[in-house]
Amino acid sequence: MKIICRKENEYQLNRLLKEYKFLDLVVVEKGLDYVGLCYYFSMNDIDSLVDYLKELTSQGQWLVGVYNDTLEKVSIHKIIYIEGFSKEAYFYTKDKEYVIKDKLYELEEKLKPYGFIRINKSIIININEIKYIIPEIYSRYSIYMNNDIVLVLSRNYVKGFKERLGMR
Amino acid sequence: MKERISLRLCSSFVYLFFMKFIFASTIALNESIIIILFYFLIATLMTIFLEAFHYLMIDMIKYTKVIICVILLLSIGILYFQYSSYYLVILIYIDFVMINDLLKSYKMYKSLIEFQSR
Repeated sequence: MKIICRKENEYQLNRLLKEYKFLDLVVVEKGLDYVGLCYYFSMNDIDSLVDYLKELTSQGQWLVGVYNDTLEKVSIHKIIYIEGFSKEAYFYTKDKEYVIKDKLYELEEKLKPYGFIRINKSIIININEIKYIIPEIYSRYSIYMNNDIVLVLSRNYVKGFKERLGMR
Repeated sequence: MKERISLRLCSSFVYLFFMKFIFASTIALNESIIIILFYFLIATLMTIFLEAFHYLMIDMIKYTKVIICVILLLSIGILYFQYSSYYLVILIYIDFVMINDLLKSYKMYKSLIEFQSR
């Protein structure tokens, strides 16, 4: 998480929001300029920011999927990538494959703050689980994941992907 | 992968043949099938080399600047010992493909590391 605030509030905010540092989010104090997606807060109403962050962490930290006909709760940090089909999606950890009834675009919205991004029409990946990225022809890229799976970043999603990584 | 190899093979062959035609216009396109086969063989070797580099690049991303220096020095070395305009344009083509691939990977790798360490 990136905090943009006035210097006098920096120490207080860093202490208060220490446990939410892993979130892929930008929070900006009202009155300061920022170009891009962010959450504005004011120091007078700091509780609403903490509530919002709590909500984000409590709602999205787990996904419930079906593995061998049993429901299992999986930490989203363990998910490597999610593949969507018409009415359901499959998410993959290092050694297991789970089925979930949510649609891919719903999962995309839900997991966005946790470092997930869509790389083609049917796949969302966890950026923290990428090993390396190699360019291919036709402006595509091959993405090598930590579980040795190779996925394709298609041309239409390259721009968004680069923006997310902070590339100019 | 097949797509990339076939595209590289075609472009290498066309480039080699076209450049030879430009720099040594005595060789006519219809001269001999042996010459065409020879250039096709050279193009195949170039493609194998570029393909090998593409996969080795994964381990070399961390040393991008060193690798670029080595590529350029090798090219200069080859040209120093046997200079011809034809070799020059062929080396420019190979260097361009290699350095372009390497730089794209390096930029991505750098941003990825920065993102992951946030």
